[in-house]
Amino acid sequence: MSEKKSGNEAKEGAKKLRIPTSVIVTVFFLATVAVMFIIFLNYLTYVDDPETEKLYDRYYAMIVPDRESSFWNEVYESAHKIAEQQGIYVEMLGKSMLRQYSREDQLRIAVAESVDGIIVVADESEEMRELISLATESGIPVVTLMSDCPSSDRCSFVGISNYNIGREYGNLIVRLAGRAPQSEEPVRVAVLVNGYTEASGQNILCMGIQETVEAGVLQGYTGDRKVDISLVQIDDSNAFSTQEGVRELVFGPDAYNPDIIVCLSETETTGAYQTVVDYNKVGVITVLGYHDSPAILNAIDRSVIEATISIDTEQLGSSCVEALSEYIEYGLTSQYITADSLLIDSLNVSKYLKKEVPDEK
Amino acid sequence: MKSDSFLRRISLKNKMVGISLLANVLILIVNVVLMFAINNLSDRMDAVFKDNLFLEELMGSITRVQDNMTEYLNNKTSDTLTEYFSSEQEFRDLVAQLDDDISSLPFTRMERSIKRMCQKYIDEVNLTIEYKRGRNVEKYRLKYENATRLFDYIESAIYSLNNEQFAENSDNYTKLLSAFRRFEMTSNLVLALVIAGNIIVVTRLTLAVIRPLQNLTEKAGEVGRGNFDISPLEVVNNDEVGVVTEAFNQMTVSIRDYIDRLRESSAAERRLRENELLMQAHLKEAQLKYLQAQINPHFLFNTLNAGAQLAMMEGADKTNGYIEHVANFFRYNVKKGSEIVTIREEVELIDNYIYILNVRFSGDIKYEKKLDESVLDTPMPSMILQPIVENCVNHGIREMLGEGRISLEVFRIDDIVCVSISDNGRGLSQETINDILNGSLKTDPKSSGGGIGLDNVIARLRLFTGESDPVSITSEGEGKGTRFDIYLDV
Repeated sequence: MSEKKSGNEAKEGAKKLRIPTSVIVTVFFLATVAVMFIIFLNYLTYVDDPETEKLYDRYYAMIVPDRESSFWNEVYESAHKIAEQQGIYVEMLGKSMLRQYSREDQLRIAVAESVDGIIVVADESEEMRELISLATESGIPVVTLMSDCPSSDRCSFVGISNYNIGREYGNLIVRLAGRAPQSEEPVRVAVLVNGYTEASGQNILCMGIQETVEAGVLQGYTGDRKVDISLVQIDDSNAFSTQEGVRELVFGPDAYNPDIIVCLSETETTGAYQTVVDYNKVGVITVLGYHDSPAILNAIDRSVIEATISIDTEQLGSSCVEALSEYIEYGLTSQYITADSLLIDSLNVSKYLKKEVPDEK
Repeated sequence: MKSDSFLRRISLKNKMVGISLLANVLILIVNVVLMFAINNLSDRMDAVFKDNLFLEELMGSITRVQDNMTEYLNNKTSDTLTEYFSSEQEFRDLVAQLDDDISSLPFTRMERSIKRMCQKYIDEVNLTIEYKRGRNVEKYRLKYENATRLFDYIESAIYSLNNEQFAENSDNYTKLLSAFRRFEMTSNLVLALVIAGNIIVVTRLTLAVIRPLQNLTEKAGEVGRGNFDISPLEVVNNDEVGVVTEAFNQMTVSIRDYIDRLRESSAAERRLRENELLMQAHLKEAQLKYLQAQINPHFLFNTLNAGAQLAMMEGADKTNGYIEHVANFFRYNVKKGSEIVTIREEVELIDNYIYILNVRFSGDIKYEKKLDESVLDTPMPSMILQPIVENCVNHGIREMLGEGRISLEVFRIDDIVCVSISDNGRGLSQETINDILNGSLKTDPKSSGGGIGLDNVIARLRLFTGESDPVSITSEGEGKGTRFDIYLDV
């Protein structure tokens, strides 16, 4: 009886064991192969991580004085965006170079690279004029941006109406002088101009300021107060030199001691604003800014900067690309293109601040 | 199910080979993948810094061109010019390898910039050399300045690209390395799992293969302990073990049969032995009865011998002869009591016996004998013929009126020796004959005179010959005598 039972058990055991063994072996084998395959594929995809490459038909170089400035970056971004749609790549030249080259050197490099078009923030120096001619002789059209070189062979100038902006600043100065307490002392206005004195744009802008202020004073908008406008040369090639210049202006041995500082570039604006805050001159010195970077808008919001002129950077960038493409395709383009500008002060700053927020992110 | 039947069909050797093959193939797969990844990684690592090496080469080449140009401008020898041309050609070849696409990838764009500047540089340098050879001092100075400035730009660009690429490559290298580390860890884990799984699978497979063998061992142990009453083993696989299992099943059946046969034959032997013992018992009984009858044959025999000698000294020859016959008769008993004797010896005993009787009963019995000399040495048990003759005398002749006659015949029929004793006495009824042969006739102890009974004689003859009817008794009826035939093997 017991023998029979154990025999049956053995049989059942064998039956239980037999069917799973072959199944287990197969499943185990396949599972191992599959897992190894998946791991390997995973490894390959992780390692490969392919970057999609896009090819372009044309290559434009953009040469700006300060690649860190948000103003020029905004212009570049808009130019890049527009160009991208047309199969053109716009490069902010020198951005990937370790050595810092002057705009003239960058122009030479652009010519040497035989780019398809150059957008350059020019000036009226002889060297700039020659280089633009060199480029044009090499068959490269040049568009000047913001700062023109009218005597050169450039195909177009894209900028703003400097006279109008000068008038805007003039009006602001007149209004501020009118609000100032009555005194024998004139209201001292320092207009910070950069080293390129030949830049005709700045001259026109200053002329605009002067004419408007003179007219305002004559018409008695400032009461009895006179307004004294002085052009102060500032090296705005970097933030430190700008701050140094403003400090000299306020505390230096021949300090002009201005009541109002008018900045004509983003770097100057932030430099002046930093100095005013650092030396506790908020409320004593009024800063009129340039461009609408988030830092500047914030400063307006906190009444450190009185007002700023905002320039439509998008319009600037796209106009440059369009002018170049037009010239390449048709041999002709508009000689003078202007972009819109806008005054931002404490009254309307909140609108632009909100707009800036997503950009910052 | 199909694979199972397949598994059952393959041989043990192939199964074992299959198991080890499976285990090794699995580990091999994991290793191959791992090795492939390692090779892949080393290839990629090589590629990572290839670009840097190329840029270094390009830098070296352009420096040589610049140096050779300067050297030529200074010396204006044909040697330096040759050197310049060879370095320029080398540089040109390298430049041709650079990318010329306007790509969204910054490195490719930088490569393009470098390529274009290099092409311009080559033009400028060639012009410089040309103007120098043409002794156009003013122009070659200008071109030299241009070329040098370009050289400066290119150097800076290559340096920048190299730097950026190196940073990027280092980053890639770190990424690659971490990917590989992760892959390596997972692979090791999988390898460990596979080895563990392998052990389990191999154990299971081996057990599946070994189990029938274990069952066989168990059953063999049981058989070894002497239990042949086991159920036959199931033949699971058609392999070597299956063959052995089948042979084992057959073996147990064969052993069982053999044991049965052995048991039967031993029973037969036992029966045979019992027969022998029975025969000895009967003999003993006969001897006992004989001794009871002739109380001390030695004494009697010696006594008779003494009597015979006395008779001889007295000159009584007849008495002497008689006593000698009597002495011989007793001596036979002393000598041959327990042995197998020959027919001749038994016949001699009868001669003595008849002589004694004839002396006692003064020649009443006529005794005839007819002997085939060739069969007289045939063995037979002792004390067979005398009791029969005694029986013939006592029951056949004694009570009849006429001359009693006893005849003894020994002859041969084929392989049988027949000893026949017949009388002419009153005979026996068939009923009595049957009773005698069945052993159911109880002899009256008084009338028998203490002799050996016929039943004893017949029983001993049966035991000796192994036949059931070694004796036949025939009588043709009342007063017509009786005939005893004893059949012996030659």
